[in-house]
Amino acid sequence: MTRAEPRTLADLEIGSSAVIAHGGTVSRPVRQRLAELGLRPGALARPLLRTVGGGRLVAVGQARVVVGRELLTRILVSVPAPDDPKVPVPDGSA
Amino acid sequence: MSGERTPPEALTCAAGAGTPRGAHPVVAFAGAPNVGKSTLFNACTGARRDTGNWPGTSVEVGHGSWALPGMTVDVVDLPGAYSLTPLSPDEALTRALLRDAPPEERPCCVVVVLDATALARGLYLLAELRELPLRLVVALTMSDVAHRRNLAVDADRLSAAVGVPVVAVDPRRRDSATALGTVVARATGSAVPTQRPRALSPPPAAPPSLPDPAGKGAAPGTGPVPRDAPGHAARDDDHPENTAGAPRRDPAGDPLGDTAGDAADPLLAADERFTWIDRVVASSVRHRTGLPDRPTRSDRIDQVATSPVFGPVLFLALMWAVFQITTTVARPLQEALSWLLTGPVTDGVRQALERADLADGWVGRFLVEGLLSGVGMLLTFVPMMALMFGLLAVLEDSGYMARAAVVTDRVMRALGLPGRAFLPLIVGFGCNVPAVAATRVLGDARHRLLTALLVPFTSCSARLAVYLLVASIFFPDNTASTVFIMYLLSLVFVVAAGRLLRSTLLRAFPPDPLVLDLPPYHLPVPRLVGQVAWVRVRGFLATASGIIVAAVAVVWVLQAVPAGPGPAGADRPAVENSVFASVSRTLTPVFAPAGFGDWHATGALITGFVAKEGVISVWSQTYAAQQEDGSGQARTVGPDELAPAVRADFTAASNGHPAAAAWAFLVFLLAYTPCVATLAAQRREIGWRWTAFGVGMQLVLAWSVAVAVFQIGSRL
Repeated sequence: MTRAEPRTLADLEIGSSAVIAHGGTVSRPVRQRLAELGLRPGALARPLLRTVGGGRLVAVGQARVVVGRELLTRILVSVPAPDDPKVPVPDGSA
Repeated sequence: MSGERTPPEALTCAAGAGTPRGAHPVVAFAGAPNVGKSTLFNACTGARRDTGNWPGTSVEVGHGSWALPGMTVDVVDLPGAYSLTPLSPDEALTRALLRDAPPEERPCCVVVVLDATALARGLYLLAELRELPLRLVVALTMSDVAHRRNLAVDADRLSAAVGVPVVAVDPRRRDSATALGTVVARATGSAVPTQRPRALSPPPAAPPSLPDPAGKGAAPGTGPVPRDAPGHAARDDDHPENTAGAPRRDPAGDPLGDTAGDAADPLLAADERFTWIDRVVASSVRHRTGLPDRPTRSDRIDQVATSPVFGPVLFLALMWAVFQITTTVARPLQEALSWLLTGPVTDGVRQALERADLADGWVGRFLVEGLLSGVGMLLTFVPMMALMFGLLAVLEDSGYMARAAVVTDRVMRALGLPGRAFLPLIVGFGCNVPAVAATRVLGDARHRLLTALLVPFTSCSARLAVYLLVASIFFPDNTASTVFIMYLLSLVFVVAAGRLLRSTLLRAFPPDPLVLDLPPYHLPVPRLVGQVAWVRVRGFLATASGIIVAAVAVVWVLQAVPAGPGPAGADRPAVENSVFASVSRTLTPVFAPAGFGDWHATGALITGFVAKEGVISVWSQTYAAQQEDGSGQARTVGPDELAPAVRADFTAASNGHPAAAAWAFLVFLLAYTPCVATLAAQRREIGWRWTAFGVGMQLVLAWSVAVAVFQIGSRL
């Protein structure tokens, strides 16, 4: 089993999923707000749509969060290999 | 964590705890944004909502009265907050009231509203609140949406997990308020609980009847997260920087970029709360079946509504439709109301005055020429306003307005403002006063300043009434399009003034990234839409009955006082010889380059400085005083009778270019100071210096653009 190199949320294809990773260059207040909205390390996120201005509509469980273009590039994600048994699945916990 | 805890028996509501405002105990509604908190508040209080500042702060909260079994409570609808660690002054109030206030001043009971479709999002606030000596009740909303999304939240298991009563409610149904009220009444009669442990022992295992989520393992966000996880770094209410109740700011001043010190932060409290949340969610949220994960209905709608291409088109189309429907549907109602007021009502009042022998005295003249004419004409616009408020409430209740903020984010970014700044600006299209107050959703003081300076350029509903009148006089075949153009011009003014300020006085702005949760779409409930529309119409009527009546009275008196010696035997001067006309004429030359250098228009604009509704009232008063019936008495005039007189004056003042002058008048009306109430709100939010600066900027911009519009338009 292998994991790809960490990428940012901006790199994810629409419709593909990844796990929010530790690190990234997001400040404390913004990180807190992201965590409050469900975007915290270990959560599975999936960009659903491109929005006006270059942002993404991101699904975190059943929640939907619009993240702006600038912030997308600062949130690290890890894309599990397809055979990774630890891949989490979406549910309503966000 | 605070260490001292109230003994269980010390405080009960009957003993007066949580009753800072009056005789009734206070119940606070708290919760994250977009969970249906205010809808539930309206359901419980019957939309008998009063809005005002929380004492000692500038934060606006809703108040209401709620009849519970055996008692009545005052309800406070707190601003939405994700946690007790605030990012904005609005959120800071929730912390100040629920955490920092002395126990005896805290609410008697706190109803924490949670969204069943995004349970974890609201649980952090609950986790913090349950660590305080507060009576708590959880109201669980959106269960129907969760059901459609293949989720089931077990209220009993949730209650067991959080140690707080949980009531599943549908804020759109009346019986939900009754059920919640019963539980709240029971809670208020109980003793204040002691400190609950931050980390509960693991909740009971999932019942066999609820299938494990198809053996899918740990769900996102449900597994334990290491204490040093960056996602937890932001949270510790006992951290020194968070103890003052002020919005938190990043010490490095860069809301996007600073990550220093993450590893060294004391993360225990936040980590424990997130772990607790994970356990609570794992024990109470279940997929009903193993149906495949698929786009929701809201996702499919958002493919259009937030699309880079179709999103702005849909936004503009919806706004245009609102104004088109408003003008076309409400027009017959307005005409009927106008006929009623200028005909039967006026005749009835006059006959009553004659029977009382008051018709020819100042009382009679004031009632007919002043109140009936000024306020009466204003009332004819109530159907239009009610319709527009109702349509905007439909958009709000459906969840579309959050998408509008996403769509307009790019425009806001161009001004250096976050996308959230569009929310106060949207409010401004209803009324500028709450819009200025709504700038508190912005965390940064400079963002709040710029937004508060831009709010007056958003076209409020009072201006809508004047647009409609002017458009019906000069552009009767294109009334809706004229109004729509005015709203587009309003956006142009916002952008232009914003860029002007950003390039001159307000250059250094911190970035504020776009992070916005989107609520699922709902089918609007007519009863709730009607309640919202009524609350706003009531606010309009309150203005009309207060400041407008006062303005009408002052104008009537000024019209009754002669500016010089009049003809012998006249008990009242012709209005054109009154003090009002004289003062208006003094300023008239200022507007000559804009094509509406007529004292009627100038007088109306002077009154419009107090409140825009006054423009219509004064026009009606002024022209009513000039139109006497056969018996020599002044009479009220309707919009149709006003049109020829206004058109003639504009034609004369513009040297034959009334259309260009009308556009210039509309532009000036849009851009100059909205009303004194907005100035008062601005002074409260940004201080009198910036408020005075704003007034100067509005007047200069309004005059300059109005002159340009007329000078160009009259040459085309």
